[in-house]
Amino acid sequence: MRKFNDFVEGVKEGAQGLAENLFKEFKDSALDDTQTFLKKAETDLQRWTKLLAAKKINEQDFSDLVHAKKALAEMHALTVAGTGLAKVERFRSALIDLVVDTAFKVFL
Amino acid sequence: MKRHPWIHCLILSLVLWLAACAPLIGPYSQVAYQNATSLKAETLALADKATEPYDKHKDEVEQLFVDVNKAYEFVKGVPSNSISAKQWSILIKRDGDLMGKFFKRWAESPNKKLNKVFVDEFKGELSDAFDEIICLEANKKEATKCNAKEADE
Repeated sequence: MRKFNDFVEGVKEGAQGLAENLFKEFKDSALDDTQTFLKKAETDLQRWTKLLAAKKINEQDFSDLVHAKKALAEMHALTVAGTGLAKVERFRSALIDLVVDTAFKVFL
Repeated sequence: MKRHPWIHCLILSLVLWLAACAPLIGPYSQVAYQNATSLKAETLALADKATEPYDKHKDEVEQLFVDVNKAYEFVKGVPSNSISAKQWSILIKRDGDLMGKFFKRWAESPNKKLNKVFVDEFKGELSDAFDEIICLEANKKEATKCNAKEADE
């Protein structure tokens, strides 16, 4: 029974470290990516507004560019979601390795 | 050393349970990555020609849509890959706001040409759209920061 408790404790400790890394990494990169995207979108919209005012592009051009940016934002949201899932997938693989390694260490 | 068989069963069950769940996202694909990078280059090169008459490049545009649809179908066929497939769908659909909108406007503009300033600005959006697909594919392999260039600017 003691060995089983050691095993559970070993997995718990390792899993906690893995989970902390996963969520910190995900939170940091999602926030960073989104801020960069929004900053670029703001710069682009300001530039297009100036180009429209200077008649270098027409209203249709401006409207199409804004719609394109909206579609791009949707793609960006999918990137953030997919990147997060990829991190969770790697977490799962690491957890399987952890369970197997801890079991070998404790029981064998 | 005495070993309890139930412990082995428990470990095995735990590992099997973790391993048996369907993947949350499709695996990294070198083909999908290469398709995205090469089609990005082809799309931007063709978009550059939108200041010339559309009829001169009509066949190239049609071929490009065939190629991007092939890439989309490849990605759609990979299990658990709906997020990447959705990205391709947004980028390439004919009545959408990215590739579809740009090439439709070129084809339907009164003089069959587009304004250079508009072309350059729209190319930026197309380029970023391909980069989103490329970024997600790269992150399936390993955690990769994709917007380092913009962040440094």
